[in-house]
Amino acid sequence: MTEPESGERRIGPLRVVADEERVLRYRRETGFPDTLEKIVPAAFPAVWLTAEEIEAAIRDCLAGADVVPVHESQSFHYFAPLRVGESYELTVSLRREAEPPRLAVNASVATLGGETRLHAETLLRIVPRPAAAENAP
Amino acid sequence: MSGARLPAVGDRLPDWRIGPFDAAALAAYAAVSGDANPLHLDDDLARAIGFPAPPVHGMKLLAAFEPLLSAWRRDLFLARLSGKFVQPVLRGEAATLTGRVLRSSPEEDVFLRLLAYGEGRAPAIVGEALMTLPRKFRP
Repeated sequence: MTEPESGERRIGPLRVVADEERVLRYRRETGFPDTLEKIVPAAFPAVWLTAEEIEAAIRDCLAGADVVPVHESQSFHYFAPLRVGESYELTVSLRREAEPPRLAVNASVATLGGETRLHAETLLRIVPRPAAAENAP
Repeated sequence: MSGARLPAVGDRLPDWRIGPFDAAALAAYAAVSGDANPLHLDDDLARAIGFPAPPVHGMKLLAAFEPLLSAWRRDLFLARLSGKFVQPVLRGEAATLTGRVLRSSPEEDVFLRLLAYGEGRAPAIVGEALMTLPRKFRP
C-alpha cells in the first residue's frame, strides 16, 4: 500500500479471479436464473473489494475515530465485460472527504495485459457510532 | 442492433418482486460476497443501531437489478449500474424493483432510472443503468 502526496492511499494491483464456482453462487444469491453465463454479473466485482488488504486499509483510514462506515452508494462503469474464469488486476484508491465525512473507494479492474475493463466507485458515509451500539458485539 | 427496436423513452420495466429474505438468505449472501458486516446478521447489533431487524445487504438488492434488466432486454448489455442506498429493506421484507427509460437512442444507448422499494413503498435504492448495443460493448 502506498500513500501519494494527495492523501490518497493506493492498494494493488491485486490479482483477482472471476472464479466459476463463486460466480455461480453469487448469481444464485442475487436472483439470476440458475445457469452459468460467460459474462460476470455487473456487481460481482464488489466481492473483490472485501479483500483483507482493502478492508485493512479502510480500517486504517478510520483508525482512532469512533465511527461506522455506512455504504452510501455504489457504481460500476464497464468498458468491456468481465469473463468467467479469467484473472484480472484490481487497483484501489481510498480518499477521505471532509464535507460530508465520507470515504471514497475507487477501483479499477484491468486485464493482465493492462486493458481497463471496469471502474467502480464505493462511497462510504462516515457516521458517529451510536452510543447504543458501543457495547453491541 | 440488427434492426431490433430500441426501447422508447418512458417505457417501464415490469415490477420485479424479490424476497422476503430470511436469516439464511442473508448469511448465504454474506458468505459468497465476503461482506462480513455483522449488522446484516446480528439482531442485537441491528437493534442497537435502531433497526427492528437486520437490514438486507444493499449490494444484494442492487445486484438483483441485472436479472430484471436481462429478462427485459436480452439483446442489450448492461454497461453501467449504480445506486444510492436510501433506506434499508429489513430481513423478512420483500422488495420490488422497477425502472423507467429516460433516454434511448443509438448514440446515447438506453439510460434508465432504477428504483427499489420495500414493503412501506419508500425508496430503498435509487439507481441508474446504461444498457448498450452489442456492437459497442464487445468482450
